[in-house]
Amino acid sequence: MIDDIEVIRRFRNEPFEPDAEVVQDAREQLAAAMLRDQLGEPISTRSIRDLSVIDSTSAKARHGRRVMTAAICSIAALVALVVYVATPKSAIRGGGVATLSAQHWQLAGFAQSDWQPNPSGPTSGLMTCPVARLCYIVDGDPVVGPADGMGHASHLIVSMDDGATWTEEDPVGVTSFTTPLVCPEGNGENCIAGGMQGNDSVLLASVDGGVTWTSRGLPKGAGRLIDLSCTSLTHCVGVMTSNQNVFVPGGGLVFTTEDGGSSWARSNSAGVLLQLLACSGITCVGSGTLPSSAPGQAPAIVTIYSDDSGATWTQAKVPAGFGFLDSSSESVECADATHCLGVGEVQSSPTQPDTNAVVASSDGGATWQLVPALTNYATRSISCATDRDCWIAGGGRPDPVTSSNPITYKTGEAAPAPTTSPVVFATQDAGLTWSKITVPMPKQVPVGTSASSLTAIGQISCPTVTVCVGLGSGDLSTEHTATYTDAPTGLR
Amino acid sequence: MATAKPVDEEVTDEEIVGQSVADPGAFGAIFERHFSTVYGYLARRVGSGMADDLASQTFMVAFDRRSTFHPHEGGALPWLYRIATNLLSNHRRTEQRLLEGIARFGAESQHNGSFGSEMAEEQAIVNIELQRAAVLLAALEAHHRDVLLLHLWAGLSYDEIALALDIPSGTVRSRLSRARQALRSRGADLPEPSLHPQTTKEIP
Repeated sequence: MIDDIEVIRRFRNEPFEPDAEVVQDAREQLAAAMLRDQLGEPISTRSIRDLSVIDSTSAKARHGRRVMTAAICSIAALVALVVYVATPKSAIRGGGVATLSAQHWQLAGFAQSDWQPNPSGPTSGLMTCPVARLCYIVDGDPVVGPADGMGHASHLIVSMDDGATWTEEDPVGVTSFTTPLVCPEGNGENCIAGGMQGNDSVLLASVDGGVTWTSRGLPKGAGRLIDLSCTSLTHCVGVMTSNQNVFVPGGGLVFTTEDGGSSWARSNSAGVLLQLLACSGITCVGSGTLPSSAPGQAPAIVTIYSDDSGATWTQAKVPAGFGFLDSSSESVECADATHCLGVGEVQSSPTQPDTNAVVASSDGGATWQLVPALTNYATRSISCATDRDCWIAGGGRPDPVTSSNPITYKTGEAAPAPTTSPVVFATQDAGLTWSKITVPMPKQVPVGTSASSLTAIGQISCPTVTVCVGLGSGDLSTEHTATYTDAPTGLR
Repeated sequence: MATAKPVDEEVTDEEIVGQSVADPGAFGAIFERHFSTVYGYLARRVGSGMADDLASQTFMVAFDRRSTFHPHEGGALPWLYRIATNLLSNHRRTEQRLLEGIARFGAESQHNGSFGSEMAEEQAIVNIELQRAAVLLAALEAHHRDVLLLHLWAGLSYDEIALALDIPSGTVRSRLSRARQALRSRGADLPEPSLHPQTTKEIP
C-alpha cells in the first residue's frame, strides 16, 4: 500500500535553486528598498507588487522554457474548466418551472451515523456547509434523557468533499448540540452553535472547525437555544425556550448578542414565541405562535420580521392559511436584507389537508406572497448563496408510504421504483424564474439506508453558486442517509 | 548591497531583524540566510517562474514590516513563510493549474522534455507518483494544503506552523488531521503505482 504522505513529501523534491540572476535581482530590489527607507521614503506593499509585476516580464523572458511549461499547464486547466462549465444550471425565463435533467446534480454519497429517534431539539442531523467542500452535520444521539426528554446531538459529522464522504468526530467541550452550526466568517472553521455542556444550556464557539469548543452561558431564565442566526461571530439572534424541556409549547423568546454571547438582550418579539428565524444584514424574519388572549383558544401561527437586527419585531402579512414548516430551521432564508423565501403549508379549509407552498418577500419580510410555480411540491429547505442565487430542495409530492413507514434496503438490493424523487428548484434571478431538477434513484444502496433519504432532500446548503449539498430526508433508526451535490467531482 | 555580505551565523534572526529597524542595511543578512529556502518552497508550490517574483516580494514585504516582527523561537523562517503563504494566496489558480497540468501530463508538463528510453520504466513509475501526488494536492482545500506542505516540505513543527499561519496550534492539528483524512479518501479512488507499469495512464 503506497503511503500518500510520502508520495507528497517526494513530490517535486528536486533542488529548486534560484538562478544567480534571480537572486541578484531580488537583492538589488531589497537594497533599493533599504536605501529608500534610509532616505525616509517607506515603500508600500502596493509599490512592491507593482515593482514585481514589471520585473516579472523580464524574469519570464529569461526563462522561456518555464513559460512553455506554464502554458501546457494552463491548457490542461482550461480543458477541465470547459468540462464543468458545459453543464450549467440554467434558469428558464418566462414564468413557470422548467424541468432539467439531473446532469449536474447527483447522489454524492451516504452520511453514516447511528441516527436514532430524536424527538427532541434538532431533528436527526442538521447540516451546514459554510464554504465549498466543507460541510458539518450535528447528529442525533440515541441517548434521550434525562427524564425531561432533553435531546442530545453529540456527534459532529464532517465532509470535506461536498458531501461525498463523511467522518464522524467527537468534539471536545460539548455534550450536545441543539442547533446546526453557524459559521458566518472566515474559512468555515469559526463556528457558533447552541448546545449543552453537561446539564447547562450554552452558546458554543469553535475556531478549529468544530474539533474543540468553548462555551458561554445563556441569560438567566433561558432554557435551551433552539435556533440561532449570526451575521458575524459577535452578532447573533437566538431563540431560547423558557426551560430545558424539549417540547416547549409555542416556541421561545428572542435574544440578541453583540459580543459573541458574553451578554444578551431580550428582544421585543410582539408577544410571539418564535420557533425559527433567519437573518441577513439588519433584516430578520421568524415564525412562531401568538398565545390567544381568550381562554381555551389555540394560539395563532404568525410570521414576524425585524428591520433592526432582531431588536424589535413586527407581525408580517402572509397569505391566508399559510404557516412555515416548523420542523426545519432552513424553512426560511433571507438572501439579503430585502429578499426572503420560505417554505410551509397552506390550510385552505379545516376539512381539507394542507398543501405545500413557497412564499417570497421582497420588502424585508413585511409582506409575503405565494410562489405559484412552486406550489404543491413537498419543499423543505432553502439556501441562498447570493442575493440572486437560491435553491429550494424537497421530495416532490409527499410519499405516504416512506414518510409514515420508513424502510431500509439490504446490501446491494435494487431500490424499488420511486413514487417520488428528490427535487431541487433553482433560481438565478432572485426568484423571478425557477428551474426544476430531479435526481434519479440509485440502483444500489448500502444496507441500512434511509429510504426516504432517497426520495426527498430534507436540507440543502449552498455555500457558493457552484456548490450545493443536499442531505436526504432523515428516517428513524437508519445508518446511512443519502447526500446529494451539484459540485463537480474530481479535479477542480 | 550590490554584493552579498557574509552572514554571521552566531547572530540570531531576532537580533538581525531587531537591529534592522534602526539600521535597515542589517536586513540583508536575513535575505542571505533564507532567500534560497523560501524560494525553494515557493518553487515547489507554484513553479520557478512565479517563485522568482514571489520570493523577492516576500523579502520586500518582510523588510517593509520588520518593525512588526515578534521574536519567536525558531528564527525568522516561520514569519517569512507566513508572508510567502499570504502572497501565495493570490496565486491559488496558478498553483492549481500547475497541479492539474502534472496530474494530466505527468513529468512532461513539469520538465517539458523527454527521457531516454532506457529510463522509460523508472520514469513511468515516477510519472504515476507525480500524477498521484498532484491529484491529491489539487483536491485539498487551500488552507489544508498550506498546513500540510509547511509541515512536509518546509519541515515546520506544529507550533512553527501555528506561528507561520497565525492560527492556534489546535487548528494546525485539526487541519493536518483533515488533510490526511482527505488524502485517504481521495487516494482510495486512485490507482496505485505498479512496479511494472505498461503505460503512463492519465489519472482522472
